[in-house]
Amino acid sequence: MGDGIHLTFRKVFPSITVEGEFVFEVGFNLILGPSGSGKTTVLRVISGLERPDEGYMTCCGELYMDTSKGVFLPPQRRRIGIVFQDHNLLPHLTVRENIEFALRKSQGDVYVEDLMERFGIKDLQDRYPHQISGGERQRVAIARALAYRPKALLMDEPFSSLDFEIKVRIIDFLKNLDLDIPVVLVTHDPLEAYLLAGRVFVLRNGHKVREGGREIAEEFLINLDLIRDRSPEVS
Amino acid sequence: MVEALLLSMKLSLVTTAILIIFSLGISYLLAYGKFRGKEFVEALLLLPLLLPPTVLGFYLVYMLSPASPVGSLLETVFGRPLLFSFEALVLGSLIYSLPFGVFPIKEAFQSVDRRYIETAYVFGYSGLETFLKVILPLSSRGILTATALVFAHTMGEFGVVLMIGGNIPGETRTLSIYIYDEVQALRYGEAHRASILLLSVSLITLLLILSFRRRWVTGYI
Repeated sequence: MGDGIHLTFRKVFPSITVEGEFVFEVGFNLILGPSGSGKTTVLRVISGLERPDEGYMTCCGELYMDTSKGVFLPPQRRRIGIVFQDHNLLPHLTVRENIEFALRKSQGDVYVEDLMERFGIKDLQDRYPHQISGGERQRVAIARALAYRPKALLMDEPFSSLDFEIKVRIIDFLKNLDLDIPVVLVTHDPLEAYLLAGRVFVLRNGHKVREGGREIAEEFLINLDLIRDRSPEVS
Repeated sequence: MVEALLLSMKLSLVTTAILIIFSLGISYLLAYGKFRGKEFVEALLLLPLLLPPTVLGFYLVYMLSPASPVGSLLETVFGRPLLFSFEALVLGSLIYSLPFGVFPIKEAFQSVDRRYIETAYVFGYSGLETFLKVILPLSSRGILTATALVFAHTMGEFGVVLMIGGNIPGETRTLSIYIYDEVQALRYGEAHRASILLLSVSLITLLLILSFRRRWVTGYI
């Protein structure tokens, strides 16, 4: 048990059934798969935004969900941070207000200053989301999620709309934060999985088809034919 | 004429204030609620657009008359019959302008990106807190549009007022009724002055609301 997330669930949609058993330990956990493979559903179930048909989940040894006993903690009571691909920051709040939004039930002012300093966004604090770049917005979104002092961090394609160079830099930054919580990151890009170098879970048609270390991402990258075969956009 | 203008403005303000508050609740249910017969409810709410004011007015008279159960109930609550009173005008105006309050706000609520709402949930905000801190500020444009529409629609209201208000100076004789009376009495000069007054007041109010909307909202969208 311990620190990680233990999750088993089954969710039936009209077009696809997503199910599986996952153990996400402290560190980076990458869910890799093409679009429509059910990756996002996994995150939504962890965060409590989606209620599965059947499911069991513990986080840091705490029971979050056990549908057989009628236990389902709402998202408000899970203390899990989340970063989406876009539309993360509330457009009517400044950068600082966005971070304080997550901090409302948390620590005081000193922490915000620290956090903005660490994320290099202090100069942006009075700007609105539409006044800063995409990369800066994602950095603010990560800072905000961490300001919440979450028990786990969920990221849904967080780098997909960023330029390559910014993407690599932000991934590097994320690695250097040395987070001591499970980070579950969903992506369709094996390069991100390779760079983040954590545990990799491959999802296809709603099912986990492989699980392992960085070597999975490596294989994807080395065997380019494999990528071509498996990605519907290219073929 | 001034008395009639003030009455029109009072009616518009009261109607707008009450209707916007009601519309926030109704629109929330329509935008986010899951219940059967939602289309039916929406159709019902749109009905005042189709009905001639005379039909609406006729049934309100019917309902408010002391002979009907509703009318006699209201009479015991208010201690006097509501028909041909300012309260009756407010009731009529509320129903008559309902679509202009509900639909712009519903559209605004629906256009708030789902992720903003979910972000608030994840960060511990309850449904009500999310409504107040996320949905409401992000819908300000639609809410101000609804405010402008309801106010203007009530300022220019005629048929319903004529049917249920009677023509009591200071109580139910609004500016539009006053103009009608003056025209009937062939006092065209006075009718012109009152018409221009109504037009100017309505136009200025709309301009104020719209410029406020632009200045307030373009800050972040």
